[in-house]
Amino acid sequence: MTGILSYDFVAHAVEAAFLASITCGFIGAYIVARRMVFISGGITHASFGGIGLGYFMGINPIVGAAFFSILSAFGIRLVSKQTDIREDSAIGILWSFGMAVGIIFIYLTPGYAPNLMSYLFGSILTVTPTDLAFMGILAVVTTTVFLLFYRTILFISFDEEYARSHNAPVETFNYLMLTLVALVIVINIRVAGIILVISYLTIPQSTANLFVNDLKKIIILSMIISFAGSLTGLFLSYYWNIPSGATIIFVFVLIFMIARGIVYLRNLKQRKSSVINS
Amino acid sequence: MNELIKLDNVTAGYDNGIVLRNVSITVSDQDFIGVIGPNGGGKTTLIKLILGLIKPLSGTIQRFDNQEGSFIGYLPQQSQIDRKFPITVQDIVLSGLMSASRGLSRYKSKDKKQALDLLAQMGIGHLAKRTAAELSGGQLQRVFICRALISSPKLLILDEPNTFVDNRFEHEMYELLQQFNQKMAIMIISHDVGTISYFVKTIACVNTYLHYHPSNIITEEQLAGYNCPLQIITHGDVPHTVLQKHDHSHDHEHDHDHQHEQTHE
Repeated sequence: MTGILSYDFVAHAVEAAFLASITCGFIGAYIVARRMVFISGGITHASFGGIGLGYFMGINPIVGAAFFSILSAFGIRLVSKQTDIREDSAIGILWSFGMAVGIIFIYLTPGYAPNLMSYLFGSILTVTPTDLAFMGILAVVTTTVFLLFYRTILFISFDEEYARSHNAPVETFNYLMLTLVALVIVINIRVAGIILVISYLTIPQSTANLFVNDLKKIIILSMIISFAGSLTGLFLSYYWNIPSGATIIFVFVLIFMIARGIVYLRNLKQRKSSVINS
Repeated sequence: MNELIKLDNVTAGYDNGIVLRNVSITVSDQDFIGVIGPNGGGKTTLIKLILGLIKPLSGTIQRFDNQEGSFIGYLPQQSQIDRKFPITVQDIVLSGLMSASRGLSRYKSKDKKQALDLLAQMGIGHLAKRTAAELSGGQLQRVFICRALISSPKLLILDEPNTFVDNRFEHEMYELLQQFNQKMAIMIISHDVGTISYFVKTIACVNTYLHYHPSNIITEEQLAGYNCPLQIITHGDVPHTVLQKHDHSHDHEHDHDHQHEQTHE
């Protein structure tokens, strides 16, 4: 089993899984706690427009995607705050618009877009040292922000109006976090793909939330689940020769269902013993 | 009596219209004001003005505070809170120490001890490590009271504190508030006019306009005169509300939208 680690691309994949687990652990817990899963899905898909633009202009598609995802994240917030368009409708519009723009640009780009499938479904086995460098920098930035401002982030997320009544820098933090959400999504598109990146941000966190109910603990536990699930999925996909991204997500859901089963059985047992005791 | 907050001829509203007109009220440090009025009458808007969450369209608001952020303690309506949010009770209380200047400075062990002490005083010290989702409505209300008190505010504002809590805790809470009132001013919003009038010193009736009533006894005729459609209040040995049948023959000539709370009739 350890023999496969001697391949460079496998070592890179393990490093990518580790860094993805760090960034998604923080940001995913934030998203799940604030019920921002849908807006995150919107940002993810809107970023496809940037990938198409990147191909068309001959620049790194991830740079285009970063640009598009931050713009759409801010756009959704501004539109739903300043106009009478409701937030979920704004998300739906930008979600599909980004995908449409991406498809048009890719169609207009001469020649064949070779890595298109890897952006849609992810390809953890083809991450490059450059990708890893980006992921590493983002992991350091995200960790630093959470270490320095954990309680401020927590308090603003829990009760925004109360934070405002105390003159806390609510808007600054909301935009800071929105930027981080957008960047974490884009960087992890290389690992899990547009279609599947939301799973890294929600499934390990929801699994952790079955056992713990404190943001700090959800962050740490989801990182462990995320890394363990990624490695398991990676090896299964390697041996069965099936797509890595999809296999990892499959393992995530499997872990979630097993965890849910454990919680169900534990509750059942508790109920029984409390009936016997009373 | 030191003045804490002074609203002078304040008009406020949102995109879809004016909610409060020409409101003037002064809150001083010994006050215990009950804020009553119909739904949509502007009670919550008045609180938001005092908290600085919205700006008035015209008029002035003066705050006579020398401490930042912690001048007002605020207890929001529980319906505004996501009860499944993953946060511990101790952290909820600590969030009462948020301020503009806080930024990088961490919450120290002194702050954490203060939070634990407050929880213990409210009889829920053992719940400090629990999360919001595990608490009953009454327990959560105590936690929010601790959050409002941790900054030692000069003014405590409570928005409908009697929803989501049982009757027994409601009474405990009012008794606590009377203790707090020795150290701070209190404003309490309530739809349960009968009960709060038993505890408050003065009443402000908010229905677009604000009528300040300098005692805690108010009659139906006065309410009608204030154009404040609410049920009548009386006082007895125990706090209670006398509900009267709506009698059209006693309507005031300037008050034709006089309505009683339907559920009590």
